[in-house]
Amino acid sequence: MNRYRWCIVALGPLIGLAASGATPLRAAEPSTLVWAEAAEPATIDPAKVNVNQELTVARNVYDHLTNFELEHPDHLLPALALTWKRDGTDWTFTLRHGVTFQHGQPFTAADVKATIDRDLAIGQGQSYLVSDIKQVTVVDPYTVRITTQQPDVYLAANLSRIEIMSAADIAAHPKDHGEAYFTDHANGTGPYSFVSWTRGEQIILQRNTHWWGHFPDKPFDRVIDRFVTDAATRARGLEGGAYDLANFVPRDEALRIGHLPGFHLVEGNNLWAWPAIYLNNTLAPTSNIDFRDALVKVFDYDAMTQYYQGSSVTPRGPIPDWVPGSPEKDLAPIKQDIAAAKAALDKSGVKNPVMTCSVPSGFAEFAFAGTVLQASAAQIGITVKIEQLPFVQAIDAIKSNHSNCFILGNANLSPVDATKFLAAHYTTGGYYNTAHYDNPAFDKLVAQISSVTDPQQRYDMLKRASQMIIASHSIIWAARPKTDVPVPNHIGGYRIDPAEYINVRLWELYQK
Amino acid sequence: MLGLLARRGAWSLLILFVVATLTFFLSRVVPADPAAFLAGQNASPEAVARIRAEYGLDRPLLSQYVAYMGGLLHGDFGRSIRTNRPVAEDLRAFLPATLELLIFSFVLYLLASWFLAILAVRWRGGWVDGAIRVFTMLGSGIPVFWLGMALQFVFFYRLGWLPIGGRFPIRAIPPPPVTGFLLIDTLLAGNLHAFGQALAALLLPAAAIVINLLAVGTRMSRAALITEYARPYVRTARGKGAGPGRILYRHVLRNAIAPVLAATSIQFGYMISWVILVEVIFDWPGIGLYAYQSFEVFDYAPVVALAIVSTLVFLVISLGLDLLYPWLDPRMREATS
Repeated sequence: MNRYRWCIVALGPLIGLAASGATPLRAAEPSTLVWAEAAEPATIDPAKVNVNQELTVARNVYDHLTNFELEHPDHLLPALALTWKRDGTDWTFTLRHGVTFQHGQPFTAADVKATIDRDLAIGQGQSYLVSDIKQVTVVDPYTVRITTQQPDVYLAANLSRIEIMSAADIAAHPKDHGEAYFTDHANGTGPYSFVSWTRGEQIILQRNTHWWGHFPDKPFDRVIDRFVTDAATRARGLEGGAYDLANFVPRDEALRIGHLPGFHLVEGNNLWAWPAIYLNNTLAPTSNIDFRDALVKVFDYDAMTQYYQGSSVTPRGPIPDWVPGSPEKDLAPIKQDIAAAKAALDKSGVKNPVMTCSVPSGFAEFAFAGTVLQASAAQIGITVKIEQLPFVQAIDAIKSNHSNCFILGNANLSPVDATKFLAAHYTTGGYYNTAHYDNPAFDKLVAQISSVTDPQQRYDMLKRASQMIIASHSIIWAARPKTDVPVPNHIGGYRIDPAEYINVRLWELYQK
Repeated sequence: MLGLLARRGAWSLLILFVVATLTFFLSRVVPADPAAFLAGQNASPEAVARIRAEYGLDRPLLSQYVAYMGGLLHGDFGRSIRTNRPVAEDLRAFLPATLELLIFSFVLYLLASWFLAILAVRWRGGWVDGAIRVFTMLGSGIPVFWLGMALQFVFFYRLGWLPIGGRFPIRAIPPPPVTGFLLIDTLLAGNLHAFGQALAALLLPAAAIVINLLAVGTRMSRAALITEYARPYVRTARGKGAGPGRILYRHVLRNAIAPVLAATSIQFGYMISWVILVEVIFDWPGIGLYAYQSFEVFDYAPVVALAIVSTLVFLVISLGLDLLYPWLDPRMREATS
């Protein structure tokens, strides 16, 4: 019995300590915001950031030459640049005075030049948005001239996505363009400054009280960008108060949490069609255009609408109607038509068709769209074999012609420029052109759009480009849902950026 | 003893070589292009080519293998294409968290399985024995990820007793790292409250691992105890007036532990494989989470390094348990000598 007592004596303090260390649901630190991020960034280098978790730091630590109104993305707002004008291939930007980087250097035109030169030299991340730039010239410390290869009406808008770095920092790390250094160091002029990065756990940001912009009353002084890989954990943690906000909460969970007491739901347009099914033009049986036509017509779009619980529409083409200059409203609706699908299949002459579809794993929406395709196609005798694979493997399967279809969430980071999306997804050589769509006339058309100054002419060209893609039956735009983000009632100011992944604009958030 | 160590050391090196070679080639059998993916959409072909060249992905496979194995001899695990850092540096950051979780879970597993086995034997055939059997069988039947989520739901969401994940409360500042083991570092810092916080954070992930293994551990320990209780020396001890506690702790337990040890090292192997799932669910910043993120983008160097490190940890624990045999069982000591 003495030994039992000894055990209790030994374990008692341990249990007591664990109990004393058990965390209350919310620590009494109202000025700290915890943002649950779906993954750890690979880099925070503005020249390389590419995905949501990388953009969180970049967007909030650095500033941009321009901003835009979220509700009207074609209405540009001043940021580091106060005014801008275009003259042929030259854009001239007049810069804001009195801005300093978080490490103390003054902001001048030299920083703009060094940043863009570096972005173009590295050629990764968001550099594709400004890849038309031929030269950046410092006119004087507060005037910079940017020359493009051909007139580019979208440049000022696309610069709203390019984070401006310090020329002194870039010069101090000439080796490998400073890629190793900037992977985990940041010094911007933005509303929050980078404090630390604990690998595998979190990044800490601190409010930049010297920022030139305006914070709301009761802003968050400290932000913990916490990496929470598991979606269920993010949802549970948000609901239980461990996190103040979370990105990529599974849709059904987001809707449920958003309707709980103490939460509200913020709904908005966010990026583009999600998901889209790409049909391989170069591998039988999807190499047959009539066969692809049959698949587009047999797909059960209503099932996707039901999946999104009514907050989605069926796209008519590649460009959402809320994108400035979108031709969507002038395109014909796309609906399921089984009789027409059967006719198209008969016309194709394909007998007993079997096709494979590589679906990136880990995305419930993609898996569901794949299942809908499988069930829909079975109605006219087409067998669809689904292969769920890690994203890198899935995209490689279709790019190397081992798969007939691929499911992808469409994304475009530019607020107004649809041509960057069209180039990446449908032109020859585009990274996401997994349909292997090959149409030189389309490529040429897309390359010309940004140089056209007449909005009506641009509209007509975008419409023609959309019609070309639709006529090729290369894509099934399964659904275009709204994005719903559950927000606790003690947080104010959260807005959804339409040209961003699920974003957090920290400088707009405040404590209620 | 030295001979045993030398033999086991040589075998271990061979196993590590085979694991490194197999993992290296298997990871590259799967068609994927991590360079193109990481360069991002619309990255110029030159940029993608530059990444491939920088990481040696453009070289023939055999040449990559020779370079990798050459690096390994110098302790160089290569460079992660995802984190743009040497893998060794990443391992130094992530490994302590995993080791702490594994060791804590292992100790918890040993204590819990023996404790339950002793209870089951004490009330053998009764309701306690039955209840323990049902509990452990249920535990082993539930998938680790589901169990983890259920524990989070009950102990974080419903009761609010324990954190949902992480090694330390999100808003709190951990003690300065010395060993990387938070339980030790908090004690070195003389901060008992922080020690309690680190301990509380360990409980749910460790429980998710341990509950799943308890069925096997408890049943093996229970069977070993029953076997030992049936031996003549127990009757002799009773005849000499020894009490139940003395019989258990001085005689039966020591004899029962030895045969269970071999199976225990296999259980440790399961722990290593489950730690990936548990770390993802509990947001635990260890090599399991690192492995998961590396697998997602086919980041080859960390994948191979993690296979090597996991094997090494398993070999070290197995060796340690093997060395315990002679200490626990004098007959083994004689056989070894």
